[in-house]
Amino acid sequence: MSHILHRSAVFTSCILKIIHMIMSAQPALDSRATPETPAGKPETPAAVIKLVVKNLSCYYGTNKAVRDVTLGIQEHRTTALIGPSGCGKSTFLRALNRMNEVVPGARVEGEMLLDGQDILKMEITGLRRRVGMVFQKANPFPKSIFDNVAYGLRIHGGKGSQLESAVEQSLRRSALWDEVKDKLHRSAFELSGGQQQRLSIARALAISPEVLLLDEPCSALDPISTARIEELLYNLKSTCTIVIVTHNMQQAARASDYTGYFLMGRLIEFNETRTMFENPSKQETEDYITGRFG
Amino acid sequence: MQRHFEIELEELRLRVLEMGSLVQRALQLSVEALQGRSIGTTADASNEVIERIEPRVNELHREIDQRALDLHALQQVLAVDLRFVTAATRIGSDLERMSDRSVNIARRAISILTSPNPKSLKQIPRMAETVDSMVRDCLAAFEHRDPTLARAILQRDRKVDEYRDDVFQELVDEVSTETRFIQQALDLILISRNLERIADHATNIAESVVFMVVGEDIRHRYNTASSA
Repeated sequence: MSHILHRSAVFTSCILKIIHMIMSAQPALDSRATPETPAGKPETPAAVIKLVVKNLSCYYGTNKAVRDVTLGIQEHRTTALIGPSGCGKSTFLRALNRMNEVVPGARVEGEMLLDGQDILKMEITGLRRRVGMVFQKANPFPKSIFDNVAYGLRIHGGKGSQLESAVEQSLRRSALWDEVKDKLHRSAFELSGGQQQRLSIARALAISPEVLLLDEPCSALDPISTARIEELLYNLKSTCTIVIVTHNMQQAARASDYTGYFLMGRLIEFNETRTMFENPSKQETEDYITGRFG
Repeated sequence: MQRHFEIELEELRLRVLEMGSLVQRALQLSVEALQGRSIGTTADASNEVIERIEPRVNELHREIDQRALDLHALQQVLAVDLRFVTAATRIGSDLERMSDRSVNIARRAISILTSPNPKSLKQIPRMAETVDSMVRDCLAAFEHRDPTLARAILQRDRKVDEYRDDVFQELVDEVSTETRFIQQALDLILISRNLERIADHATNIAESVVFMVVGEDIRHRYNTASSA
């Protein structure tokens, strides 16, 4: 039992370190204020490739988890990554903001470009300010709802009405404001699982990322919370480029514009989501999405 | 091990095949009724279509739609399975209409038999033979997932349209000199119209088979090309 508790404590500590790293990259409040997403259909500007990945391979020691992947992530679109457990999709996602670097023995080969800039040569805090991440399990700090969102903002000197306004803005963008506006100073742990996950998204949005990476963000949520987050992602597209890893095929079909199918570290197919789920071009993809895989 | 989901898909496929087989039989019987040498044989064939085949076809139509609905709701079919289930419901609707058309032909058969035969009755069996081959082939294309066979059916639809135009013209010419044929001529015009519509539905089924197998929507291309 003590072994399990120890591992759990180490895991929590790692997560807090990672979150602190992301939050410490928080820019000045006024310079990166983002307008609230307008109601209704978000405007989607002409497609541009935001992230270019060329021949990317990721290793954990000698284990090659991602093999020679090349693809382009379109700006202001949602790209879903699907595939069986251990196929490398989460490793690929984490490589996009170099989150794998916290894993001992992890290394990457190949090229990743964010707006043409080499991700591997970027200053890490600058990269993570631009490329935010939301994890599978909601991870509120043991603080109030307000302080969770304000955490990173305060590190960079945010205070007073400016801070309050920025917190409200993030909570509105994550579709949580109406549910928490009267209890902002209550503990974040009082929120439901779905609300906690939206709080995590609000915290990620507080730093106004250009790209938002989500690693199975709805896997522990009920259908109503899942629907809220999918709707939120749909609306966020107007200001963010979204990459989401999901095990839920229907979620990929509902929530994304493009889908990549990973198998044994390789990107088997990358296509428009509609094509992927109606008429995929590769037999391996068809076998997986129709449940005939393995 | 065959999974429950695959068994459900197979059940749906079997229902479409059963419905197709009944519709083909209905068409053949209605044409036989038309060619019957006695009131008795014509009435037997007509009754078989109207009293036995048509109710079962309607039942299968409902069952196919319900099964497809269940598969969408409970299994969230995707890719090749999604196209199959979509095609199955489309084909079910086409088959149900084909059965109705066969009933229309069977109903007119006795009226035709008791009247003097105008010449054009000789054209109808030739037309029916082409339509029957289209129905047979579209069902075979569905059964064997054969897009080549399906595409070949589309050409024959034009031939059926030509037959219908010939029958129309011939009957118009005939009734202009022989007014005693008016009733029969109207029956035959309606019969040729029903056969032509059955051929259209067989064409629809062929198009659904192409969509089901290769994911390509080829509907309305012929119309677009010919009107251009």
